[in-house]
Amino acid sequence: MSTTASGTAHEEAAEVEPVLRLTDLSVGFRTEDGPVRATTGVGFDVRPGEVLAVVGESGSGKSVSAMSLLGLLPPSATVTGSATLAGEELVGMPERRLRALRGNEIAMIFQEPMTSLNPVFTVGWQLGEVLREHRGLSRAAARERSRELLELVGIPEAARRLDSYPHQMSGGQRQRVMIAMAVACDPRVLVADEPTTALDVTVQAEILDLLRDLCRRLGTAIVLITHDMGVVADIADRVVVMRDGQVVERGDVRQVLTAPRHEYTATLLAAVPHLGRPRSDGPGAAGADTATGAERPSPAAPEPASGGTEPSPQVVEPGVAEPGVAEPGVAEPGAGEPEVAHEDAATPPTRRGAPVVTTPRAGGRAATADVVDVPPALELRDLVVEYHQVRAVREVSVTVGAGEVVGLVGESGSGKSTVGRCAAGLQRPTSGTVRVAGHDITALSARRLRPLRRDFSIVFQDPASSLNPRMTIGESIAEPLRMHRVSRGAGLRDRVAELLESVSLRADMHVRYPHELSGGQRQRVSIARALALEPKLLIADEPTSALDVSVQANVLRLFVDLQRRLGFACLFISHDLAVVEMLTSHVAVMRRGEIVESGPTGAVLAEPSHEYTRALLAAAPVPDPDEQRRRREARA
Amino acid sequence: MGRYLLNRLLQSLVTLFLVSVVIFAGVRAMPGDPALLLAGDDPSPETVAAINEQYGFDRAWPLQYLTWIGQMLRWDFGESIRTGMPVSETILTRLPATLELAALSLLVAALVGVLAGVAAAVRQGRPTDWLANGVALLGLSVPNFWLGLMGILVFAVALGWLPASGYVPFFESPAGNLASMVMPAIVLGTGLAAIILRQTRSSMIEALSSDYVRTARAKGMTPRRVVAHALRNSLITVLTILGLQLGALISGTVVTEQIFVLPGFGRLMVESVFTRDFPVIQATVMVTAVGYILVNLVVDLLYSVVDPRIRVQGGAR
Repeated sequence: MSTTASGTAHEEAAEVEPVLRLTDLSVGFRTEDGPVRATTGVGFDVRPGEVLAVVGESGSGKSVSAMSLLGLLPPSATVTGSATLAGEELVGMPERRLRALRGNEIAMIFQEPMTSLNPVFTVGWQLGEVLREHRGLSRAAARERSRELLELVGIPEAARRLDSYPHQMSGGQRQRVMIAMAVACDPRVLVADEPTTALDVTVQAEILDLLRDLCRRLGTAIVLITHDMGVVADIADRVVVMRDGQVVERGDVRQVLTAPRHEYTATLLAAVPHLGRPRSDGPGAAGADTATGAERPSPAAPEPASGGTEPSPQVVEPGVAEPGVAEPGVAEPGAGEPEVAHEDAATPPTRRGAPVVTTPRAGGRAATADVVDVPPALELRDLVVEYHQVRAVREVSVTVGAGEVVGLVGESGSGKSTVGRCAAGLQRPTSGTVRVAGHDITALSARRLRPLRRDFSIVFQDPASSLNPRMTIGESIAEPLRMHRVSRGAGLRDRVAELLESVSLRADMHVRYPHELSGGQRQRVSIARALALEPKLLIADEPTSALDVSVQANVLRLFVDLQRRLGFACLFISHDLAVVEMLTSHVAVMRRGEIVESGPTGAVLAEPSHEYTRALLAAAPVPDPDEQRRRREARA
Repeated sequence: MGRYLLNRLLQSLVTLFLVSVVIFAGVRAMPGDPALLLAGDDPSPETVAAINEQYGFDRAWPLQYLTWIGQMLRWDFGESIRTGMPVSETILTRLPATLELAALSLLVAALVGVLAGVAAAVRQGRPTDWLANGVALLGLSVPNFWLGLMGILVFAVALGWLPASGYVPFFESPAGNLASMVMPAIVLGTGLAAIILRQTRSSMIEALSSDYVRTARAKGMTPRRVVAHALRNSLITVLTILGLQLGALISGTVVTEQIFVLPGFGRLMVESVFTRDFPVIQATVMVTAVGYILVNLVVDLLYSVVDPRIRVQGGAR
């Protein structure tokens, strides 16, 4: 609700009347415990051909505001204030009239392309449906127009694709279909609710390019709802930042991203993990201080992103800017900038707590690990996994030394999660060997494997579904301890309390059920459960990608701290290069079941030798509009 | 698709084989001489000898089994001990009434169940929903025979609108046939209708809150079209329940045919059990099993009609 109107925005655009204007829009819900406010006095406007980003974390009311525009909220919602589309009031509009506007004047794109299309109808049918409804086209005409639309959004073999079902298309293609559907009737306003969040970065870049292109060509106004500051920098003209149902800041994209006026915006920016901030510091501390200090959106940092265009990025390791503070791994999280340089990266991160014997990482770590006192925590050799004659994983070898954190990076379908499942003994490889802490677990029966499971554990992506909803979190954490008969009675209670506290949860929370916790808290519980038996190896499969950025920052910081204290080795699976850079000493990049590149994290990210790594780096958006523009031009 | 069909057919054959083994073993596991058992009460030595010869009880079991299967494949189930008629003929005369009864009650159940289920889901938590759920509970808790008797009392005895019992073949008098079948079909279909209603309601409620329904609403579709989007998806789960519940429907025909005195397959079963008419019991059980397997095969094929994810293999990546 801040005051500054977007005066600095577009000089020429300022004269154009806004097509959509929200004034003092509030949404509330009637619940059994009385009314609950979702948003209070939200106001912003969008002009034709403009992209307005509405930024905020979950619960900020950004999606609710958008849904209220189309009257798509459940009947328990009450909307007050005003929202006008080309001068026509939407709040309180009769359902019949609203229906005529939906998909016609205001269209919407949703986050989940996998579930947003109806699985039992063909793509062409679902597209044609809009045209038949709003434009009164005949079946044949609708089909012809649908084909044109599919071509417009860049789907190859459009005519054939009309008869495809959603499950026959990839996530990116489905989102293109959603976009085609949304622009079918040339809407004045396109509301895109996290349109690229569920997509891989390379696909995300394509979809954002498409949206920008459509916006320019068709003159559509786009309201882009997102949590991702990189996406904002890439596509938005103006930004509205929301928190707890209120607008806290608004302005031109450059101003908001480079000189945020509101503290919350600064915090949000600081929490965004981005490249050029290597491991051991942990993501930006919660306070706004970090945003102003070392970490500004980093146009200055040597971005390896521009890849091929720039011949050779400097030899400087990204983030080694301040060599003065070279106290490896001791600093309080979020305090200084303890940097681990190239060679340092090879030494185990565990300095206090359990001393870790040096491990044979100095040489080619992917290869020989024979003559040592401590066997590697995880050794995958020539791993092959086939499903129905399709090779999901082809001859992958990864070694994680004791106490070492190794990143496994790739996009969806790269086979990275399958590798993780093999390492956790949840999936039997077609060939190759899996050794955990020196034991070959490749062919062990479930019964023989069980006692060995003490040595390794796994944390999954979705904390909501990986905790049993019928068990208290205390019971969930205690279960592995009970199963392995480690402790019981008072000892067990104490251990659970200790574990809860180690993940910064109060010990008395053990009686809570998962649904009573937030996403971040649930993931903390998952981590506590995984660490209950003090495993030698933790496999973390995208543990933070379902979380809000500021929550992710906290969980990652906790993870770094725990890893340092307990000294477990970790295979960290992620699609996010920035997160991997922050946590790992070594990284392997996977594509289509193969490792295309591996090595010390700093070196791989600074001087990627494989084009795919370069493409990945270039596609991950950074919260800097100028940098994004540079990359866009490089892409085009 | 072709592979899927082949797979299901093979599975059905395995099931059929197991059923036949159970029936075969069942008769042989009975105490005493199977020939004596099959011959019924107080048989003459000639009958026993004839049965022994017909079934080859003196030969090795695998051979006996194969002979029996071979006979069945040639639609030869032996003769009824009670009537002396070929069992195959008896079955053929008894089947039409039962098939008609089952089909009609299935129709009634599906129509009522799906429509009421959709209405309840769309108006979730409102009077329509309450009413539908209440009636469904009633339909589930009232036993068939009582409902049948009440029906006869009201519509046949008191009002005289419908015949109380008996069966008129369709080709003799279509109107009379329908009049004689209306009440049995409704009585038998009630329980199934209630189950379908509950299933439709719950899967519709789930579908209505799905992302694709939100998309349909955001596209500006009319409520009818939105429901259509959800219904096609809900039918997938409803079909499963339908397939599973057909067993209950088949056993329900036994009771219903007794009440309305229909000359059907169910009554034939009951009669044969009471008279220990083993050839008939063997045959009816086998035919029932085949029918059940066929129906489930059809249900599985219907899946692929409703759900393209089964029909069309993916292949985008």
